[in-house]
Amino acid sequence: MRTRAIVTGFIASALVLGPARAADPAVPSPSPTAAPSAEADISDTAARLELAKVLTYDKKYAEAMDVYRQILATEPDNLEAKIGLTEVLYWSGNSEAAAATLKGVPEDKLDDKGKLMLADLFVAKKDYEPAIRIFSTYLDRKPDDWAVRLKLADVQSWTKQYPEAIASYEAILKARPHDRQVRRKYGMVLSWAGQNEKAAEQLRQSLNE
Amino acid sequence: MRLAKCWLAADRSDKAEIVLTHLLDEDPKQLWAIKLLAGVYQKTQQAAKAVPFFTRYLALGAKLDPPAELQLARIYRQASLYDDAAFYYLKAAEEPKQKMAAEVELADLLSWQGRYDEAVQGFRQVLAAEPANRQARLSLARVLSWAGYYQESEDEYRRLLAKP
Repeated sequence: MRTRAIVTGFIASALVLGPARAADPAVPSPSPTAAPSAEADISDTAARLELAKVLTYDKKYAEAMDVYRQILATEPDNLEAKIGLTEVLYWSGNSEAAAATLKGVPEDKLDDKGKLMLADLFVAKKDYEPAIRIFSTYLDRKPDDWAVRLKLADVQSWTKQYPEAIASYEAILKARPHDRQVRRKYGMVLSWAGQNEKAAEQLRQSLNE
Repeated sequence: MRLAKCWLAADRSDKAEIVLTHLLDEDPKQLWAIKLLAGVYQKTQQAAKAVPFFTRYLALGAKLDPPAELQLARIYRQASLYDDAAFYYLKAAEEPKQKMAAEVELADLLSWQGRYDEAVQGFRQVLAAEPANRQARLSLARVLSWAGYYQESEDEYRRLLAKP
């Protein structure tokens, strides 16, 4: 039987640990079961990327951009920095500069986050066809990402691809039948497609839910 | 024992495991075999299998040296036995040579429990004694961001990036 010393401060708290909980970190850590290696060190670039994310979460967009640009000054091909900078520019309302940041980056080099960011930029420029292609390709692999499917449905409706848009809204409503906003959009698109009776039923239902 | 060590030297943990298991079937109290088998499981990242053998080793009255206490804390952590991990981190922290490593890992463990304030306190304690400890400062910056203390997190990242 082992005995435990009476200790104070944070050490005492270690003795009353609760159940394991996976953190949802804004910045990474390997896993709850992996101890940080004493030898492991972080590169300045990796630390700057984490700092830029923290600044972004704190809505300090100008400072976050500065940090991303510092990284890109020494590593012009750093994709994570490019995507991060693109996001911050986009959220700051500067979609042209955001698009310019991603210009020249081959689409196949981008991860999902980067590709979806690119699609959003196409939407912002009203260049809908490449956005539809990116959203559709992504949804082939992740069909349950309803937020992205909603973006696809919206863009399909704006480009008058009504059968496709209707199919997209129906897929979302099958998974989320009580989503009033989606049902309302679905009703509107049905009316644009000339299916007025069905549209009225959906709009009525969206008011009752 | 020699055969088991030969297999280990040849990097054949699977064969060493068979030999040691067989030896322990014959005599379950052979301390060296228990410790060796626990080490085999630790080496092959099978923490859940290592834990019972370390527990048996300790129950038979064997003592661990401080480096082994730190290793045992890591094994308990790998096995998601966080309370036991914390206990051995504290034991390991009593040895000056590994005090900082043990305290950093303990604070990191606390952060994964969502006990951000205690983790922050732990990292700050380490940094008060060792301001140049980059691992502790990085972990502190991360925990502060997880806890939503963005300004403080930013400050720690900037300190980390500032050249000494």
